[in-house]
Amino acid sequence: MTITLVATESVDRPTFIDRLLPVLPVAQRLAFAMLQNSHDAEDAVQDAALKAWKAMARLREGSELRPWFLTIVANECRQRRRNRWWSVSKVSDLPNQPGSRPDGGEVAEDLRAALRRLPMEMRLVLVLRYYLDLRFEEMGRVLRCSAKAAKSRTFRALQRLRVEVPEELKE
Amino acid sequence: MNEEQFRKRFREALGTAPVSDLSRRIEAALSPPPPRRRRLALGSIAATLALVLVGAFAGWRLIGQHARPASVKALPTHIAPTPAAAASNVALPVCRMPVIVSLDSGPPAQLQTGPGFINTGTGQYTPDSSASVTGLPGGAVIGNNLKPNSSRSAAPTFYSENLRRWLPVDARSVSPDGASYVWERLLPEGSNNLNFARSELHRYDVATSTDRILWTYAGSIDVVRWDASGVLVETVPPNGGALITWLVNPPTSTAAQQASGFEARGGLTQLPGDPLQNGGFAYGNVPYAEFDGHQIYRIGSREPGTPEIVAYETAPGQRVTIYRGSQGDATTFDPMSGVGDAAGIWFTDYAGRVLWRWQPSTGLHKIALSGLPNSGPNWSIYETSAGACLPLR
Repeated sequence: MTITLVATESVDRPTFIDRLLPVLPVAQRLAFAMLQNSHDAEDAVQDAALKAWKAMARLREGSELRPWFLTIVANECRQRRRNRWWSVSKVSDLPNQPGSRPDGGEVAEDLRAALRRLPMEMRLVLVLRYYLDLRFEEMGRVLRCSAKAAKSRTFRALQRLRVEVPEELKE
Repeated sequence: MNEEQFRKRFREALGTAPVSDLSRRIEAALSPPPPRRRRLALGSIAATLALVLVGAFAGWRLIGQHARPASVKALPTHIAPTPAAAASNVALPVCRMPVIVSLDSGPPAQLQTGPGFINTGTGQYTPDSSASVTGLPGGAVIGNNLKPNSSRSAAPTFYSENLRRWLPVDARSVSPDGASYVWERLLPEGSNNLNFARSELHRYDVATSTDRILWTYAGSIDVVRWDASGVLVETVPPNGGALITWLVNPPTSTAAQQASGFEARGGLTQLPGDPLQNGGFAYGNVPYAEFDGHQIYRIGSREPGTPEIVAYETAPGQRVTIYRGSQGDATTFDPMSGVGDAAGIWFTDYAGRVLWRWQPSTGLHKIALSGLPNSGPNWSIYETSAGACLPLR
């Protein structure tokens, strides 16, 4: 048997996991806000983690893991939104999701419905800014754009939301 | 309403994600799936179970002995059942199956690999001491900051029946006729995963020793598969980020972006009663395993005791079930990779020293392997399919 002795990728899995674990809570929040389904959110983050591990070799030294991973999570959420199973069976699951139930008021429901009508990119921008409290600089790293562009996108998303729920945002 | 008021209302509307054990699940998902015998080696209870298994294995040692077919389990009516392997002496194809034998240990993780062939009639493994990929481009792993020892030169990975030689890339990168393969080069020349700016996808024709650039991209290129439709690849920007899927047309060297990675790769249609993993459906495919043009999928989980299905789909919702059971059941079927032929599929197994044959008409059969390298107590051994099963010489 011709033997080649090499170190496997698994040598560095613990390192990767150690770096990833602190980011998981915010990643899970992002996925939950985007998908509004706790199971889908967990699956999205888990799949994103596997993709991140696959692509980890390309994360340059000194680059921040958090915005890089959040980009992957956001992309995974986009893909799941396109996935027929998600769109058919999961959107309506929102009221029965475990965890802290969203506010049940009519206004809040209007806001949730409006968010669902927004394009994914706009919804992502609002979630990053108002649900995860990211600064525009970090939003830019997640969205692969400048901080100025992130701010501009946020403004446009808010404008669109005002069209969807004008009374909500005028109060 | 000011920004803070809006933020508060926004959060209230969306609610909060429930507390979960996601971290533990991801740690488990990122860990290499251990062979069962490694788990069984832990603890006195496990040792007792191992003894029981040894006894059970003694019954399996006869070549070609049949596993309990998964199809005898109750199946939902919507799933096309696998025909039961009722006969006790089913003739299995006798051929030479190319495999890469891997021995791994850790931590610190180490891996030893070697190419060879399994005689499916006897279960005998024979290493191929003459295997070489010298002079062939591609296949090397380039290091990075997290994996200081991960750089390695190309090694035999796939055996081309057409060319009668080993290639340095896996089955996904080999052309349908087995005469060419694609490989990736990071640019600028001499760069690595830390500092590359773009990539080239090359096509190398082995018979004529000609290499040409198929496509370039400002990021990395990972090959998903090469089939009649073209070369399906995934790209990632140099700093990481969103995966984009492309279909590269080899004759024209043009690439068309695909809808998404999931849609491009296809998938198994979810059916009522399917086991879920972490509340989700998708689990994964069996690497390289296809039958009659259909990818083989695993759904469920590899966690011991959890339900699992191995199946393929002939049309959306039209499923052929190869195995339906639970991890660690008496069948012990735990496929790691596979290769299909006209009559069925050969599966390698995480258990390492067994090979499986599945045929639509006869179900699953287990073949005990011999001649494999000895592995120490902290080492596990397994084989990966490395090409179509070949006629005996």
